Amino acid sequence: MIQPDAQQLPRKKPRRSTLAKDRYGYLFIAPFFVVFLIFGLYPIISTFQLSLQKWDGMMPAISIGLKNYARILGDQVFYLSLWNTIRIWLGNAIPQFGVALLLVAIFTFSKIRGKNFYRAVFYLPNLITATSVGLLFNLLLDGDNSPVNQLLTALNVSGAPISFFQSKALTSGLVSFVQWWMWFGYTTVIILAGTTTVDKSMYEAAMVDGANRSQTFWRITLPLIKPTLVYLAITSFIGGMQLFDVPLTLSNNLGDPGKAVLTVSMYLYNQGFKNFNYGYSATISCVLFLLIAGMSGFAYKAMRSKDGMYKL
Amino acid sequence: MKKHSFRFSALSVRLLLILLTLLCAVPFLVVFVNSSHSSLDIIQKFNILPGNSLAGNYKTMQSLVDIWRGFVNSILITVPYTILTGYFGAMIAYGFAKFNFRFKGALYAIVLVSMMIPSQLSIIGFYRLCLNLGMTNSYLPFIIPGIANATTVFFLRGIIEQSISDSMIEAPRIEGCSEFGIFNRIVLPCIMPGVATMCIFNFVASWNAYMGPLIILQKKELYTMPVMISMIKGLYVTNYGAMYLAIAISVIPIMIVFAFFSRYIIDGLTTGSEK
Amino acid sequence: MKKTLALILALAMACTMFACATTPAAEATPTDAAQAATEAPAAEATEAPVDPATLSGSITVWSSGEELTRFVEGFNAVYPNIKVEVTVVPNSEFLTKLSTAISGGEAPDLFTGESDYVKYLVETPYWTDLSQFGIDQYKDNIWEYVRNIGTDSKGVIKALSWQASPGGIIYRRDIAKAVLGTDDPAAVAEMLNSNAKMMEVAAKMSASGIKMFATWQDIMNMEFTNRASGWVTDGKLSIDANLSEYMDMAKTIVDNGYDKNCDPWSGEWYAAVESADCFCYILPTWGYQFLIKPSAITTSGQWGMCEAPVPYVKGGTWVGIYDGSQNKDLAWLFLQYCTLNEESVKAYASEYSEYVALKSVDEALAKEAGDAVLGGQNLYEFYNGVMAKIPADLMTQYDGTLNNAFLSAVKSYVSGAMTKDEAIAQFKADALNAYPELTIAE
Repeated sequence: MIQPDAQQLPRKKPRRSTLAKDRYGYLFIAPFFVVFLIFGLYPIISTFQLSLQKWDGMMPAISIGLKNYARILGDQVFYLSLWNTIRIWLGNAIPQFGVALLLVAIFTFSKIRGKNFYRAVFYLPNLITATSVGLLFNLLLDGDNSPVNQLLTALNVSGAPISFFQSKALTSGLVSFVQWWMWFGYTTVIILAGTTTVDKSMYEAAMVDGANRSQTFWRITLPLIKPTLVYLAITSFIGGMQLFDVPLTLSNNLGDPGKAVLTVSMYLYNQGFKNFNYGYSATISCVLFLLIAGMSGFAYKAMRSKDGMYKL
Repeated sequence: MKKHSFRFSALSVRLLLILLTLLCAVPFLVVFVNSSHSSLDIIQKFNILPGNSLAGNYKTMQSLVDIWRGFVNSILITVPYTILTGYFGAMIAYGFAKFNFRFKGALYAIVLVSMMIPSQLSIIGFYRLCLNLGMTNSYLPFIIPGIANATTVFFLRGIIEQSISDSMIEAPRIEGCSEFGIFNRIVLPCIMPGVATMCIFNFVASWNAYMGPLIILQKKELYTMPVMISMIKGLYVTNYGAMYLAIAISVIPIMIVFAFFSRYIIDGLTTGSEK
Repeated sequence: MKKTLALILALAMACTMFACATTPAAEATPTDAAQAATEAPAAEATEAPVDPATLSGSITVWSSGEELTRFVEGFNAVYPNIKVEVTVVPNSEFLTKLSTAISGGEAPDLFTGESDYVKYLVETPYWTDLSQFGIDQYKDNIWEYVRNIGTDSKGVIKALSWQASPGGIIYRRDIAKAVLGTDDPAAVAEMLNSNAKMMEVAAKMSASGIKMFATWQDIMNMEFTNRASGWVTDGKLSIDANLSEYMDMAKTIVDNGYDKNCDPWSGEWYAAVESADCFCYILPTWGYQFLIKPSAITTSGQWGMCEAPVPYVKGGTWVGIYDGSQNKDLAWLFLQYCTLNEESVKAYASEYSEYVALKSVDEALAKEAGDAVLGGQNLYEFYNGVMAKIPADLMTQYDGTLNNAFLSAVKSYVSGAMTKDEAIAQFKADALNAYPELTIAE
């Protein structure tokens, strides 16, 4: 008897008060925008401004309007680097989510001991800097007498020693592998954190209703962790599109062999800091930014669940 | 077929977990083992057992850079940064999750979009900004942006919407609790596991940040660990042993932080969802 | 007031030093030069009107390699109150940091420029004209090509270097004796004096189970000197016929397994120094200083140097004073100490086996005992011979990007991913993509 009252009172009377309270929302979010205005906005504006100029980094800049944007439309290397970036991302994101979901399913349904141990070990690769990781794998793989090749030769693997960095497919695959290696543990940790919000009683109820584990996973677990997956997919895409350190240190700044692992970020870095075309480099930055924003916005809308989770 | 797809055989599950464990641990062990070998040993063979060049590597490393100085510098940046990301990330996320105000959609879009700016080139603008603010020899440019960490806001907004019901906020509101009091005393403790999760990732990201500190900081004694490691790497004389030792030293604190905080990640999230 | 006074004093002192340093190089024989070099500091101490200890201040230096850090201790022995802070910025990020700092209007008092982009820096106004410090008096003692590279298109000297980097073939004496029957540098050079002859020897080595080279990529160091002109003349890009010949040779090496199939600066490239089956490296001075000498432990004494088919220079690092520096006078003292002071440069050269830019020092050191790693051969004597033959400066401001693009194209060709024509077309496309203002020469 009291409950409905309590429910109705706040609905009517504090409506005004809720509105008043909602102004606090601005206060809560204000720190973000204050800091963003100071530290975030200026670099963005200056990059955009630069994209309309020809500047070699040292001598005075010359304004050239939209010429850089006209150039990028016909720039085959830009398209190639864009494709490389997307391919490398797909090559690590799909197995990353696949393995992470498999591990989550194992941890949810099998009685495996040492879950916390595995979770910690799988997260280890994420702790080392990307540049050190690239260098480490390069040392392990490069050359006919590299440790990995010594191992393969000892095991009589056909084709050993393998020239890993002379094949486009192998080099690209290795970059995807290293990215997968660095991030699958992170993905697993985040998804696991998401699944713990799923009430255990829901599984039991489903099992009583005759659902098997597979059905339980697909119909109960997945929908409930969908917000987590949306978060992961979008941040992974944003990170993947800005991929820079791993291909650079695993191969070289040109993304050899034959630009196989030249990513957009590497390309814009080269155009700026190696070739001194800072204006054009800024243009690539801006176009990459628009592509990421456009595609993430689209993905966000498409994936956002109808029950209003993560609404804009 | 489908019915049995999730019947993992105990053996195959074990094998998979062991394989993944090896894959994750071996390169890590390589770093630690190699830090006790001479450069020549490292490039000539695949080392499994520790060597006896640890002291020599340490001497070489210290002659090139003052690694403990870098260690302290990294902590001076990373700890305040991490705390800021956690506290303000939660606060901003709470603002977006539980209040309705005009332009909320547009403002949230700005938060998301700020994640998408390629950093390689905007470093030039960032440097000029720091120069104008007189911050080229200060850690503030690396600490203060922690307040505006979009990834943390994005993640925690989801957690708050999932695990904090409106009634949890309304009740203290009626009792006269201030809005910030509600956030500090009710919301923050409830989502602490989510905050801890993000803090770990932010700690790692800040600890490993390289390009920003390298470009912005002008004084050598302010350099952080990753910059110092790159200074060893950048030399023409190879010092792989010293380099691996430096990497190993830089990894230890994050391992400790992770070991300490990781138990907060999982178990706590459930408490928040008990509405 | 104080600053002006310090500047005048510094200039006065610098002038007295020129007086000591230039005379021998310009007029005297090498032996005299060596003597003068050792006498110079004494003269400086007695004649200089100012005690160097009264000069005080601090200067900052950004360097892309570790070499300049090695001068600081000695410099402070002379100038105890000038604090020198040398920051080694990794080569891969050096320009990123430097151009960012310069565009913000704040750069260190001194900064280096690697051969890849030194020609670019020299043409900008950021390195100051060194004639204000009386550089002309030193000119004749600096190897011509080192000086030319530090000079802009108007003839203004803006950067100097402590080093010069001529090159030859660094080979294993024991392997030469076993396979070729001799380890005498002149005899080995004779057997390797053309690309065709190198391939003959490579086949012989291969028959004995020995790899001729660590990597075919090293040979490019030599081939870049083996051209009629640099990459770009008057805005036109040209690919020399010799580079086309080099592509064929690289293909032969890879197809026949004449090298260890590794990349320069990779772990295996270093390891090959101590291996039993790698005959030679085609590398300039820095290859000996940074690769062979530190790595050769069991093979110490087993190395020799002989002339390559083409005398060449490759690489090097230059250093100049930032035009906006507030401490130009002190910066000059350090620059002078690292690059022009015969005593300090000589001490440095003997300690690190580095071939230096001052002729008088190289000539003096050629008279001294040889290097143990080289079985007693004197590297200065050897390199002096090479320096006498090297052609004009072929460096351009485009070298960093174009050298790498060319190497990348050749890699595609030798690995079989592209035909030779495709690789050349690829290189041209990459060159135009990096520098749209260029045209391709017919």
